[in-house]
Amino acid sequence: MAEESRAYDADVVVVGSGVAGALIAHRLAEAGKSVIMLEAGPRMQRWQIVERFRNQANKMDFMGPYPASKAAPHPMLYGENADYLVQKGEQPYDAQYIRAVGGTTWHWAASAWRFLPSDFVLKSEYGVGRDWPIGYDDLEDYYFRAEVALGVWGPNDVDLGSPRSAEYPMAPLPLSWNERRVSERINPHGFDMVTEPVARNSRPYDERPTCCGNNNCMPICPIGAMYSGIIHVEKAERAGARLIDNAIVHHLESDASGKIREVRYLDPDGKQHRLSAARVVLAANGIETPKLMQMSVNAHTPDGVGNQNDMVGRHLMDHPGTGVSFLADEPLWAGRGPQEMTSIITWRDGDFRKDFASKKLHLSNIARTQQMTTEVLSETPLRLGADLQAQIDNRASRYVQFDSFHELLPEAANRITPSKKRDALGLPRPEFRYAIDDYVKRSAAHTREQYARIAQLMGGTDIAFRDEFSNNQHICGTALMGDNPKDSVVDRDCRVHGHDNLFVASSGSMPTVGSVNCTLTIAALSLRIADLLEQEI
Amino acid sequence: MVPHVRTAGTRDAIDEKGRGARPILRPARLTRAVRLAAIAGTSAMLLSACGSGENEHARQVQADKAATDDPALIEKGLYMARASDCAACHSTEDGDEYAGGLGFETPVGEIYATNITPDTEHGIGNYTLEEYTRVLREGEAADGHNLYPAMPFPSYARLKDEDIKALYAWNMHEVTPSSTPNRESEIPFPLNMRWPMALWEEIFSPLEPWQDHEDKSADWNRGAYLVQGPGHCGSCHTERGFAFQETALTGDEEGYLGGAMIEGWRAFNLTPDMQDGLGSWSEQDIQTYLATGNLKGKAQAGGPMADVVEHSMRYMSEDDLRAIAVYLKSIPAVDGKGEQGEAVNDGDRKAENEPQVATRFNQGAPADDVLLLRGQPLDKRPDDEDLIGQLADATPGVRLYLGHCAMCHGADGAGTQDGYYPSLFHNSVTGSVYPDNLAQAILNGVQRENNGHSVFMPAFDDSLTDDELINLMDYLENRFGEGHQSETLASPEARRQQLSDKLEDWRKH
Repeated sequence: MAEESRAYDADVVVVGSGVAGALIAHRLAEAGKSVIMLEAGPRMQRWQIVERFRNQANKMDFMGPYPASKAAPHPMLYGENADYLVQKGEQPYDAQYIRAVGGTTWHWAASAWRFLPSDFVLKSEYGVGRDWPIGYDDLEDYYFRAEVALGVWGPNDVDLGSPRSAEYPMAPLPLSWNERRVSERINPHGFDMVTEPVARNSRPYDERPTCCGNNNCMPICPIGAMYSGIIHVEKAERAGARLIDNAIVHHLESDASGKIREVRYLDPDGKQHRLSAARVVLAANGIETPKLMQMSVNAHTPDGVGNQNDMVGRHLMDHPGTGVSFLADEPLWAGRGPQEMTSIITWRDGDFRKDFASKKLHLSNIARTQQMTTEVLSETPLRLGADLQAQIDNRASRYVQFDSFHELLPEAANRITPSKKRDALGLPRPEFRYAIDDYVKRSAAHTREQYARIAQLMGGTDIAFRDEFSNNQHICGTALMGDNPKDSVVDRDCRVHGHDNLFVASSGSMPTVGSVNCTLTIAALSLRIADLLEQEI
Repeated sequence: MVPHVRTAGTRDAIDEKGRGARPILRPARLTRAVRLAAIAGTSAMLLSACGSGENEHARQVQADKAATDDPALIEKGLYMARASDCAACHSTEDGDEYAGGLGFETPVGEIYATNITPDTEHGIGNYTLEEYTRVLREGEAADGHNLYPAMPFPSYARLKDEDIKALYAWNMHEVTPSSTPNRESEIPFPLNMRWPMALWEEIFSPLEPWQDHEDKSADWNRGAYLVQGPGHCGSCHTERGFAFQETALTGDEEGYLGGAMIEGWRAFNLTPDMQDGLGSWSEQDIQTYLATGNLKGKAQAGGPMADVVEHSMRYMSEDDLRAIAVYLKSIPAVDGKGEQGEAVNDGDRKAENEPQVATRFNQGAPADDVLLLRGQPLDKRPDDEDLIGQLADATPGVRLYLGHCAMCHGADGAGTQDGYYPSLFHNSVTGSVYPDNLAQAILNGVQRENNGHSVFMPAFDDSLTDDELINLMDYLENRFGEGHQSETLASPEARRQQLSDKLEDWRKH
């Protein structure tokens, strides 16, 4: 090992510094390995993100506080990078992600769910989708370790369907009035609205403070009570890992044996740099990772790295979401505490999965004052003074919104490829072919019925359904895991088929998407990869 | 001779492999022990019973232990151990309780607190009550070697016989023996010779066991005893002299509890001086502060004092806390060395109840800078031409404040109504002329556990550059304290220089 590593720039090069890459870098650096993290984006300081958010006009623009780097752009709501993602399919894949040190968990709502055991055996249980090559039991210990690493609170007294060998690291904060009242009113009528597990501090934990309820988890937790990848980036650096920011990896050079000999990256001036390592980990999310693999063409890899069977970038998934909003018949004052603490888990599993998608519904606890103010001010005649104030209070206090995740099945036709359209450095932008099938649409129709029931139970008026599917940034499947190299990209250890020293740490490796947020599963898989690498190097 | 030590391993205490996650709050409680360690000392306490006395000694140990095996006495001993805060120095987060191991960094080498568990080989299990009494009051170990005054024996000299007996009972019967060996001091010969400490003790440790003053109230007597003796408040709060001795050990001596610098922190003036001390505090205020570490609208304990509250004072009975308050209100006022600015008439809701004299507790006013900056892009600095004139008093620290602090302390700095997030104006730390505790709170954060409640402020040492820290402090002192704005204090430029000069020391702690 020592002999081998002397020949390399590092034991491990990790491409990407989000939660996946940072967890691996941290563990390996702690184990005494030399680690280099390459991050395409720049470093950002939390306080500056906070101040950009506070001073931007549209508070629901979660990308606004993260200005895209010129050299390594990411999708923005406004401006020149609004069309960074090239859409070629019937349904746009409107992903948001952050290319910056720390990655996209700078803005998430911190939901830290485990998958259900049945999520791993969808094909054999229900005849749809695929089975994973590993099962829930293989991941349970890593799930727990991920919960400890991220700092997860959850309800120890509620069975969420994912067996646990130990209690959550933290107890949940009490529910907000909004969440308490809604669950009190709907749960007796066949809904299972529960406190969800989240990576947010309910007490001082890991040198980070308790959530103080600023209610802007998205786009930025101002105090670091909510976990984000930057936490383990900083831990990794303290443990000796080296991070190079603004390092845009554009090519993985493979030799005849399939070994990745070089990782090549550009700096923002377009100058190329090369690094070699005993092992290379791709942790650049489910879009940039398969894009890079497909871009890495040479004589040995004419279709790109790991793409000998045309599997890379395919099976793109997400949780297509629909929503409903209404004004309840009592003031609930959404906006106290975190942005989301509960979910309805009634339809996460069951025989219905043979026919339509499993799903999770969740109540928003985002403060709606700005939204309602905008709405009231847009009406004629213009309201002023006390009348205006009363209208804002009335609507903001009663506004209820539910959203949902539907499980999209892995379909080979849904894919991301490098586009002919280029970014500022001349590198391909991500291009999408994506469609949502009837399996999801049938489920969404059922979801709409549940929304209507909830609105009725809450005495709702001004009911507005949002039937158009929205993207939920759970970018899965594009480098999926399987025992058979013919129909998968990585093996059960997340090692790329045909490339012994290359690993994918990303939601991209997940063969199915389940009905819950995927970050905890990413973290668990990453810690599993770290264990393997620690033994191998 | 600035001793300092950090409790090791405060980072990365989360182990993903570890079952049973635990909070990783790691109070830096032990650092304060170091304050005394400028003269290096270790008490290896190697017991040597010699010659024909050996059996007799062993019999005496057994007799003393048997005579003190009394639940009520042990309970009282635990209370006294807390009053004396033994754990602060003799326990570490990772080691066995009371098994020593805390490192004291001195210019001539590292020394370590010792194992005071009743283990007969490595601890003090072979101490007779008489030997135990001697080590507490005189700093002389059973084997005859003299302790350095890292051990506050000049204060413990006040301990009453009955309390030492209770401590002995607790120590021998309640503390779990640990075979953790004592770590040898790293001080080289000849500096490690102990005999000069006997001389030091003769000169600088003159107190006798406490005797009540007939002319004083019971509260006063109890308070004086607790403050001078077990509580050893003067160890931090009284200035030290050329030989690291406390320049005053009782209220009869000049300067007692007048405030001192300890390891980059200011141990504040506890005397009834109106401006610098606790003159504007009621007895109830003192009790509340000691019991909780939080006196809303005046002061919050951080750093070493947070540890004192957490590990010692919060266990004291209401009667004892009142007694301490009575005594502190009675001692001679020590004129603050730093001059305080004028009180600001800020129209604050509490202003009517405030004393009219300026104190370090009633400085400053709510901020409104956010109104002018809101909606301005981040790169818009207060010194931009567009904004000049609008933000007459603003400094580059405004943005730093809003981006780092306002989410908990509020854009106006008023904190929260329940006082969990303290107001930054009317706050001892921003109102003091000593910038040290403000800097320490920012750099190291605040951690305090109290009766099931956690008080926590994150450390910003990694996220603020030197320039940013000075800019932020500059803003905090201007807006929320009187700080350097006072004419009698240094000019703004000189103040910045002052802060800058202290940076290295602050970062170290």
